[in-house]
Amino acid sequence: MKQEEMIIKIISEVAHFILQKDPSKMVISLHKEKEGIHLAIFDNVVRTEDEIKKIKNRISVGQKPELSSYYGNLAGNDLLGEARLDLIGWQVKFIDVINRGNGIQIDIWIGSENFERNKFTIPD
Amino acid sequence: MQKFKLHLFLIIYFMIIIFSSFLVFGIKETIKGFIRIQISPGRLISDYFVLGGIGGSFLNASLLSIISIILIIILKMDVSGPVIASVFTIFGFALFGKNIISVLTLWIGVYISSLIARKKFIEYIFIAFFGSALSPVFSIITFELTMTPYLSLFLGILFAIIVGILLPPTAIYVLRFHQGYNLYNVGMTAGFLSLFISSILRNLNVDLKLFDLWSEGKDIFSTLIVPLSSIIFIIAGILKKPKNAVEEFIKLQKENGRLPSDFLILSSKDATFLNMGILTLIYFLYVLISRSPINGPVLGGLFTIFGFAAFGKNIRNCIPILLGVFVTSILLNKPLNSPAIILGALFSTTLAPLSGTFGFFVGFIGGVLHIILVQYTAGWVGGLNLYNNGFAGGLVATFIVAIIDWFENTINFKLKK
Repeated sequence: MKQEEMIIKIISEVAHFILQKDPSKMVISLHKEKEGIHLAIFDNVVRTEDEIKKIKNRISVGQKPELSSYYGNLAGNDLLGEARLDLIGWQVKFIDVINRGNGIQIDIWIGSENFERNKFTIPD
Repeated sequence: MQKFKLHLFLIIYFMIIIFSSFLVFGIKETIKGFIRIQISPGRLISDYFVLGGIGGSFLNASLLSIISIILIIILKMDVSGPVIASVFTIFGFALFGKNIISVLTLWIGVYISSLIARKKFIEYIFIAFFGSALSPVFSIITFELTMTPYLSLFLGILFAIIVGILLPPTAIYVLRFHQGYNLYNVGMTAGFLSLFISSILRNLNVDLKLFDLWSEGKDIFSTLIVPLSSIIFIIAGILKKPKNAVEEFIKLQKENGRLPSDFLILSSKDATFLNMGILTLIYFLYVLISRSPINGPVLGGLFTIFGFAAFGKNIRNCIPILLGVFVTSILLNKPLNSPAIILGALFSTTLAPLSGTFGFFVGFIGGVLHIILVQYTAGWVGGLNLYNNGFAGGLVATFIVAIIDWFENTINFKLKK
């Protein structure tokens, strides 16, 4: 999959996930450099700790090449049915969800072997 | 070693089947039947119980499953839901259509495809495993066309490899048609490719009349293998923490099953084993009640349910489909134990995500449409696609998803999700 296509699919699937809760605000930030990409998506929907935990469980599946190249292609393709963050979890270097109190921040890092995600963060 | 505990469990399971076959049917007979299967055509419906005997069929199925697990170990993969689904699907279909050479040639094709795409083979491994649905391409060219044996073998291998190369791009694209609501995606892919292959062969005046090898299947060994396997997995599931396993199993029934739903990740190993055992027992009971024979193809259907109960199927999302198939068969006055109807009932579970996501009614309609369509799809492609129900199911899922999508986007009509 071309990198542009992958980014579009990931943004589409995460946006689908965020919009299911009907937020009044959604911000998508993309920071791209040679070694990798940092995507951060914010919304203003207040979620309980239980909900955050569930989301984290679904996305913390780790990279799975045997699934990502095949089933990963379902990511971001349609809006029928629930959004599935695990489709993204398999494909990316690291994914995290932060509860900001007034909404969530989903951080996604895509990168090569030399990629250091600490260098790609959004300051508070 | 801990990492390979489940791999070992599965290898031992298949080894037990091999040794039991030797014990019950005799080593010589079993091997003779196994060899006969390797050199015979295997289009739909080729019940290997007729062709190579029960022992030879189980040896073929178990060896192919063990080869698959060895490949999984070589690729350092964990035993996951899709791994269990693919291994048991290979096992099931190796009782009626797959043999070792035909499967390996297709895998070589998929491997070449991964080299062309500059990907690792592991990235296409499930396409390779499920892609063995097109095994008949090798066998029809090698064993059914009138050419010299060496030329037939050469062309059989060549064409199977070419088909293997074409599988990944097609399978990935076909996913978008039904958006993950048809569990046997490669079945739809294989059906799609078979339309072209069968048309080419028909233009070359090759006769693609369907096979009709269907045994009565009253043997005690083949009757016991499904309930025994189910009980082994149920015991393995509840052995350590029975209460936890049952609670997780009940929660697992809420999963919609849309591709890819790995129950080993979404739930737990124990609950998944319970789901495999209980769901397969329910379908085994249906086979008994419908007075269907327990032969190669029927066992193939039951073992595919067994495997996919780790990768999308549960009681809640399968039963509405079965009811749709059952009611339609009764209304159309079709015998429940005729080949197309019983196989349709078992394999229609490919549509489980439809009822899991959109509810009972949509699942029921899926079952109705599936059994109406599946009786004819095998004929369209001359039995070249072993996952005929995956093809029909894919068409049904695409049709239903298109209608639901249109409703939701035009009149803001929301079905249960």
